[in-house]
Amino acid sequence: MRTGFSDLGRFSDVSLLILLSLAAGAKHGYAIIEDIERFSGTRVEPGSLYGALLRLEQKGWIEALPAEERRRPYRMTAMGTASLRQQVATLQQIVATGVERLALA
Amino acid sequence: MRSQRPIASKRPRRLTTWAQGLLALYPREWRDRYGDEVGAVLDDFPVTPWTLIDVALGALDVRLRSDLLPRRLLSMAHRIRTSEIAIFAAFVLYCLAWLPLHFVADTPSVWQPTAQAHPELALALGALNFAGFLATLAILVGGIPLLIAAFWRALTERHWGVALRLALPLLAALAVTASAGFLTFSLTVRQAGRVVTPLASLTSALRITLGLTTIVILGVCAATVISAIQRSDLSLPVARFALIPAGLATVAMVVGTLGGLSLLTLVSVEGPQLSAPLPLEAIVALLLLAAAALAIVALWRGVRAARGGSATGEQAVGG
Repeated sequence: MRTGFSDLGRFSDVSLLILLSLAAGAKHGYAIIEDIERFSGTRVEPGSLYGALLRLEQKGWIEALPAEERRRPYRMTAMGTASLRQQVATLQQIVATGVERLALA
Repeated sequence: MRSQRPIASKRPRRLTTWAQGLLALYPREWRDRYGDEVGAVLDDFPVTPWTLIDVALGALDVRLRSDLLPRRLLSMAHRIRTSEIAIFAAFVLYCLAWLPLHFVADTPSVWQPTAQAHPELALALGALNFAGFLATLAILVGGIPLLIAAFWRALTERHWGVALRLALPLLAALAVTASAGFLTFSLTVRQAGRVVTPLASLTSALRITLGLTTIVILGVCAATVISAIQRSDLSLPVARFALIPAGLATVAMVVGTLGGLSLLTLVSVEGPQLSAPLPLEAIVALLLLAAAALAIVALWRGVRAARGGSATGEQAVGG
């Protein structure tokens, strides 16, 4: 994968899930965890979530919105949307290759 | 990240408490920025032993990669504190202008008839005084908890230099106040049934000298306190709390500045006999304007910092 996701190391999978969640609208931490669990069946732990959020914010792919009491929503930036689009296209290519090769096997 | 684990129906609160406690392992800058929201997540999250490991690993990760902490996030508490210090400095400037402005009412035999003929003069002076007292009250309400927190933190973390910087001005101010009170009490005499304070019998030159000495002492105390607060390590909640009275003080200083400038203008137009030398009036006007401008800019920057950076144009969203 030649997108910026490779820089995220062990946080790349969580980051992809977070961006997919934020693609549907801004959310705070626990709402992101719930949404990811809903669409992927994967429960992200808080330590991993905030490790990924820190990196995504640092890359400028997401941005924090004003806090609502103790909760702070995040939203995806234009850069984040472009990176996610690129990553999804790469994954589609991988899936297509996998389907094709499994069909041939 | 794990797959398809059933959500725990009965959450062991003890694990949640431990997970909250593990947040102390994170760097202070990270806690200032993310501590509250991760705490909120942990309150709702079904915490398991794996969560504890994940939170601890997260702390290790942030410790190892502290370079990832964006500068603007890292310095949130610092930026709020800097804004509050600037508002305090603005208040000192305001006081330096506010106190000399009383020269207009210094001579009652001139002031009272002029103020009766032009009530707007008394109104402007009243606005200046009211705003000054309100700003003083707000600075005390915001500043005293901040000073206590900074002093306590300096003691518990054994930052003796900071503790000394905070304690000395306080002791000096107390000593000056006590001495002045004692002198006033012991020198006060009764003449023909009237109480005469020692200050009333002093010459103008001595009164000016005493006033200047007080201003210098207050200035040195203020500078030392500012220096101590700059070196102290205040928590974000304390810094955020102090921003509210700092905002009130800013509003009061703006109102007081309008009152002071109106007073100077009215005096020059309607009561030239009350005027002070032109350079003094110009200095007072400049001090008022500088105080108001500094306080407004500092408050704006502090509020931006408290909201987490560039908040302009951000839309309110639900999570």
